Amino acid sequence: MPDSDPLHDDPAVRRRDRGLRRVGVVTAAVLTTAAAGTAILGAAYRSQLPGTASSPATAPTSGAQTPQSGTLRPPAQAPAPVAPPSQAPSATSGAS
Amino acid sequence: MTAPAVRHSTTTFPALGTTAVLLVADPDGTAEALRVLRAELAAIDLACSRFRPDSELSRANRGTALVTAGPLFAEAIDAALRAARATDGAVDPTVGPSVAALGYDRNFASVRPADVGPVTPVRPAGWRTVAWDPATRRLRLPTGTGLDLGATAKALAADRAAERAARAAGCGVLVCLGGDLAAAGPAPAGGWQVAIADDHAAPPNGVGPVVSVTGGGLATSGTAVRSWRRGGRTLHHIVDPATGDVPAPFWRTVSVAAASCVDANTAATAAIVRGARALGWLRGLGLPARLVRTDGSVVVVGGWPADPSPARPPADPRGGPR
Repeated sequence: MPDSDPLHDDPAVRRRDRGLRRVGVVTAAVLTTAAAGTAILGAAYRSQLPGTASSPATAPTSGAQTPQSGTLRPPAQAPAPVAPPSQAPSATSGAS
Repeated sequence: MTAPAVRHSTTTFPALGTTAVLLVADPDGTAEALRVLRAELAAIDLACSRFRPDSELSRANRGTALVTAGPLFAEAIDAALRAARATDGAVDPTVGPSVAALGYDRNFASVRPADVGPVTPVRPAGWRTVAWDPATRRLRLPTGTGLDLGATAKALAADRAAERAARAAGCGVLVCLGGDLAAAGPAPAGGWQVAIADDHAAPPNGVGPVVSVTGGGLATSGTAVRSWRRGGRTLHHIVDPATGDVPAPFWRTVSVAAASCVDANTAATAAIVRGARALGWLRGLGLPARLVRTDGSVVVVGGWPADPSPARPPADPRGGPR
């Protein structure tokens, strides 16, 4: 019995195997690139939609009158007592 | 900071289904301040009214399509979502369907007081379901969700109007919209004197305490005003987002002072919803507040001045009780 496989020694078979390996590498590269591209495009599209992970309703505010923090801010000075009023109050704060 | 003592001007007129009061420290600036206030009120009504079919809010509530908000509507949405975040959802702008289910589905003057139909609370979808991008100002509401910016939009209008009117008039200004007030610019000597009452329409020289403020916001929320009966129950316009129903009665009226009227009104409304838990919450935030229980007893926190003692003899021996 010969030690070597005559098929593997055949140059045509070796060329076929090299070709198959190249096809495999190219296929893997194409699949990887496609997956990465899909992920990138998907993330970009998601960022343009409201209500997604990058732009939930909890996103920081942008209004000029509303601060960025999520806390309610106390006044610079607490209301002071007026007793008895020196004149009739000018406004009333009550429920409406 | 206070300005020299000058007798301020007072202008009162109906607006936003309630009463607007404009105080201007220098009467010469009244016309300009009033022009700014009226423009602001018209703009906020067109952006945020629940009862105008042509408002931006109504258009957004009608469908699930993506809506691009105008700058003022966007600011109002920002304020409402920030209020929800700051109160852990106790003040939630998605209570629109809940408020409507309780019977407040039209201008309050048209609410049917004799409606005896049963009440079926509708739990709101929750503010976290609102798809809002402040950068692009694009808004999308899930099906069945409706925004109600009542807890913040009027206060936002007061803040904006006071700030702009003070700049336009070149003096101190106080804007009061249905009891939610904002002060900007130098206040008159002694500050702006504000009566605290259950009802904003109460006469300023009534029996409630009077405080002076020099800036920022002061707002009062309560259950005694804007209430109606339905299904054998007394209902009002403040909804507990956790249930879609009115909160369990605990506070009748809550007044809060804050850096802005939006913050003050947010805290006052949240306190009504939180009930007994509101005291610790307000203390933790350092917000001066006056809370009136349903039995009429009063609690103050955060440096809010105690009510004058009713047992104190009158200052003028010839006068009777004030």
